[in-house]
Amino acid sequence: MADSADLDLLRGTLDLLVLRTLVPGPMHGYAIAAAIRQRTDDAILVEEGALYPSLHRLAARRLIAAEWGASENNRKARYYALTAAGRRELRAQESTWRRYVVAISKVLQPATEG
Amino acid sequence: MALPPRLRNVLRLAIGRAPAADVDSEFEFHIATKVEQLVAQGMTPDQARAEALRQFGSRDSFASEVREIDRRATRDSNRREYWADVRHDFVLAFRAAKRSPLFATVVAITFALGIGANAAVFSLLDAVLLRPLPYPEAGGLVRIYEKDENREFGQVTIADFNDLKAQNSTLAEMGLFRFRRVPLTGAGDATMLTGGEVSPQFFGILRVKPAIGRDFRPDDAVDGAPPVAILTWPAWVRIFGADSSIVGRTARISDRETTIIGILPRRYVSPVMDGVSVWDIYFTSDYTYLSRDNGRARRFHFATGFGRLKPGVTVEQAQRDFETIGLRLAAEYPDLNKGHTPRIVPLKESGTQSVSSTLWLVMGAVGLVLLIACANLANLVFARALGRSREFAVRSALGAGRLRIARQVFIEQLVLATFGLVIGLLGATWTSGLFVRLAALPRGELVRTDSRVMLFAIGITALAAIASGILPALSAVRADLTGALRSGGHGSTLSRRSHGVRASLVATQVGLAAILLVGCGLALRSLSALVRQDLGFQTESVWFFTAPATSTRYPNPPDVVSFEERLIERVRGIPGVVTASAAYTIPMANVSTTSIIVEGAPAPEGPLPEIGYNAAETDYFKTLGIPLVAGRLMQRTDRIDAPPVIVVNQALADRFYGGDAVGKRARMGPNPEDPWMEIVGVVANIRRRGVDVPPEPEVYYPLSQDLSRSPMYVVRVSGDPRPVLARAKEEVRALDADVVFGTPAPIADIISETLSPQRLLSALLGIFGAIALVLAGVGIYGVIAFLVAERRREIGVRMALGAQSGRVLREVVGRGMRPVAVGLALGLGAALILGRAVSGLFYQVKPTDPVSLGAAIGILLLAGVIGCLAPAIRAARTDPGGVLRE
Repeated sequence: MADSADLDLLRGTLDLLVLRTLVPGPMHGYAIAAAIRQRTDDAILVEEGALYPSLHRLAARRLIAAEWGASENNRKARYYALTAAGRRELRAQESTWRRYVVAISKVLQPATEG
Repeated sequence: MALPPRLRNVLRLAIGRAPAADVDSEFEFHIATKVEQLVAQGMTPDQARAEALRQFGSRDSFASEVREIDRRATRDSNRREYWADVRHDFVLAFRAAKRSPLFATVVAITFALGIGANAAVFSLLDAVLLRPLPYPEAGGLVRIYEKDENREFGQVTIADFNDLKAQNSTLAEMGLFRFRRVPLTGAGDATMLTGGEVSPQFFGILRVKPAIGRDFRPDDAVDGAPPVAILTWPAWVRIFGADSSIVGRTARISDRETTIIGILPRRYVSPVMDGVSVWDIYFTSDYTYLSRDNGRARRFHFATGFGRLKPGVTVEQAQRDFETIGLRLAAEYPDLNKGHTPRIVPLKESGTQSVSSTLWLVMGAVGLVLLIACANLANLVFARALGRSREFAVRSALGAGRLRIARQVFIEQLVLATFGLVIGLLGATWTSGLFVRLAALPRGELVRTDSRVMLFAIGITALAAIASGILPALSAVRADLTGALRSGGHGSTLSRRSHGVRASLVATQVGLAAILLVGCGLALRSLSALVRQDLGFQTESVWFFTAPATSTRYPNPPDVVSFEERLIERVRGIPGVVTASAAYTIPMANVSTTSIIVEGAPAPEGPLPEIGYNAAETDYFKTLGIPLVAGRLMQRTDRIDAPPVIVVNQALADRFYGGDAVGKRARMGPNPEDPWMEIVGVVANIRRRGVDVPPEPEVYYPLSQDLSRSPMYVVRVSGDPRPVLARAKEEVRALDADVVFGTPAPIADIISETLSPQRLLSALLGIFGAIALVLAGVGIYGVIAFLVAERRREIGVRMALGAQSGRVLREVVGRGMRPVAVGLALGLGAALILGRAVSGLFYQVKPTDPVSLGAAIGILLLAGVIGCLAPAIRAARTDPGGVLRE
């Protein structure tokens, strides 16, 4: 992996994506990984295992709750669900990201024109 | 926390508390699902697995990362949960206290008594013996004494001091202090100031700087320098109204215009105590006026030495250094220095030796009070825990662990103990002030309830809460909880075991109380022996006052004598005066000594024998009721120019003249130029050094041949002394308005003051004994009342079968007295052993004193019977019919 600034950025991004992915309802790790890879064209989650530290960290911060359940193929799977705190966090992160993206785009645009 | 199990599970999920082993199965599920998907896309199982693992990435490192995250999360949430539980226990504890306010009040007050008494005594002990003195780097400060045959801690001579100062290599600085009382005149009523004449380095050694003005300089101290003085803060406020313009101006002190050059800081504490509580003023001198005459300079032990150790030097090293110099001086001046050893004592320890064992004894006694209080509380809490066994059983069934229940009981105890701590500290602040006044403790002015005392109090509060809470808490959780649930709170196995525990708690209390009561008895018997001790003189209706004739005002000795005689005449003429006289000192106020050479006797080995010294006017003996045994008293005709005569006491006549001294001659001191003096009379012995010190040989000069300028005037009055003393003050003013009339006081006060340590000991042991007695009585009552309540049914049945109520009464009392008897036996045994260790503190009373032991036994048995009686009577009145119908 790259240096620590990249890592932090990546982590923050991944956490945000996990929270966003869980909005429709509880999912297990595999499904979350699949959803993220699909939506980001495999750009973020190069190694699927990297999802799990993120999930457990979010669970420790009580932004998501974990529970064992049966999967669609009837195996024991660990399901994650957004908590109320997780929803609040997601909203806050989303607006931060939007502002961030707008700001960065504004800076980058004139440079590419001129 | 009593939560339904389902809710607990939900909570556990919400805080993500997953076992670490689950990480593997979580990963395995992910990979297996991926393999299934890839196989469905057409891969062979082997290919699919390889691809799935590749896409997953470094499985082991993710797994360990996840486990670390989980471990940390679990630890955090456990901690959070723990503290939430503790908080909840505190809430429960407050609720419990509110539910049974009487119980809570009794427990809190018991704690307050134990903690408060301990904090109060500790504040005394700490200020007097433990806390460093309030000087910068106070650990390096030492006092320098000279030890000889007669004195463990004698004062030093100027010659020895100068030699020690020049030759030692262990002290950085050395200075002297000499007690002075001087009159301040010229502004309003003449007043007496108490202070010291010090080396100019004195305050430098203490590292104290004047708050206003300057310190002494060496040139202030040379002979003939203009007199200067430094005032203490209280004297500056009292005499000069805190007017800072006084610095640089002069005041008339000892009839000399003296410039006030500085004011000491408000918090200044005198390093010397000498029984003086208020210090006013300091002068400075290099004492050359004493070193000019070499004989006098080597003989006159006049001052207290002070010093500061060089950095890194220990007291022991300094002691060895000074001892070596002492030996050298003894070899150089054999007749004056032989047997004299310089002694270095840490300043902190000097002057408090006399009270240190008393204070430690009292500290031990008050520690016993705390132990008794804890035993009593344990008993109370235990009884209550039994009453609550149903509550505990329910909580246990709901999943509360035994440690949880123990912790809850402990926290309830801690909450009540904290109430006790607050009340106790308030009480301690008030009572320690009282003790200081009662006992006239050295360094009493340093006693206060500071952070050290608070820390100590908090420490013992925690210990007391543990000691009184842990036993009942442990028993409560060990209890047969299902039994308690079934039988509705009165499990019988539980109560049998508990009775044993509680009986031994009562025995402990009684034993500790017995130790205290025996100690209290010994102290009281000792005090009463001291008070009844025949001193050899009468104190009733005898008052004394001072009126010093200063050397500047009365430079010639005959004028001094004439002033004294005229004043005595005037006082004799006051209506209500039976007799009046004067002496250099009254008994117990001063311990001046001199040495004696008996004419015709061979010169003794080593230093000359030391004898007590006094000078008296003829009526002194009549005023104090000291009978003349042989010969005559001194007379007016024994003037300065007449042949010198002396009166001696019986002890001196016996020791040096085989009982027959009249007409023999003696010389005071080794100086061969001093004249031989004729012994004209022998008077009876008196105790002059202390109530507990047997009479010693003593000599009385005629006041008219002695050069002391400030005798103590003694007056025996009939009726009200106040108008007589007011008149005496008038007479002094009429004779010379510039002479200070020193505050009059009854002689009995002086003697009473010397007994104050014993009085403090008796008072404190008395108070502690009384507390112990009440606590032990309550403890006995509690146990028996519980027993009777529990056996009500059994007693009822037995009475229905014909048992007499008298027999029931006897049985209950007998049952209750068993632990009392056991406790008494153990306590008395311990008291005998401990008593031997502290017997030095008691006067004419042995630790085996039958009166003290008997009184302790009697009082405790009585308390035991009283404690048993009320529940026993209740038992004997049991209505068999009523009980059987229930």
